[in-house]
Amino acid sequence: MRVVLDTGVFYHPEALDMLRWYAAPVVVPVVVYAERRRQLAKAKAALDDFDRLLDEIGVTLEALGPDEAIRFTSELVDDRKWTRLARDAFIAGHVGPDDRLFTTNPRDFIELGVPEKQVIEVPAWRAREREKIRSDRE
Amino acid sequence: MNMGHTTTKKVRLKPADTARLARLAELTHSTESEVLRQGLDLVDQMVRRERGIERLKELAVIRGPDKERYAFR
Repeated sequence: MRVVLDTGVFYHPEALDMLRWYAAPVVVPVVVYAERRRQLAKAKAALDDFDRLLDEIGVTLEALGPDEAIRFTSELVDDRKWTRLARDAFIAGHVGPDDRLFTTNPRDFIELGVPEKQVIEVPAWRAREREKIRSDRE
Repeated sequence: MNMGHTTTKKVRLKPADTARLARLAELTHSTESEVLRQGLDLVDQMVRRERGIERLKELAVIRGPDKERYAFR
């Protein structure tokens, strides 16, 4: 099993804390890496620091190869959906059958076809809050 | 395996840990020294990860645009 990170994980200290408890390898898809680096660049943060920290926590930057690129994009034929979900589809391509995806945005990944049991919503309290709203409605 | 230069060190262990070390060496078909070396690597990795996570958390105040941000639905 590997843990694949989506970009939103980097905005949530609670989600980053969860990485302490996973002995599994942590993977950052290049699309996530590019998104996060762009955000930091926009805020004029030190990009070298970010690269060094990823190295320090033992993250593997994974390139987008042909297999990852087409895993969830072949079915994405609707143009509006493509515009909305293309980057998520490229990220989802890194999620292998035994992997777990940490994301703040579970709905889009499940819509793309990533099995729900592999999608871990972070931070955990948000998932609990969503579950509570759902049960209150029922 | 070429270990290069090695040093012999005394390690103080409780009887239960001594038994655990021997069992792990047997289970992994290696040596007690190798199990200790792997343990060192794991602790090193854990410490580096802890430190890196703390620093990454400081950068968490920098957020992305809405699509990349959490949207409660």
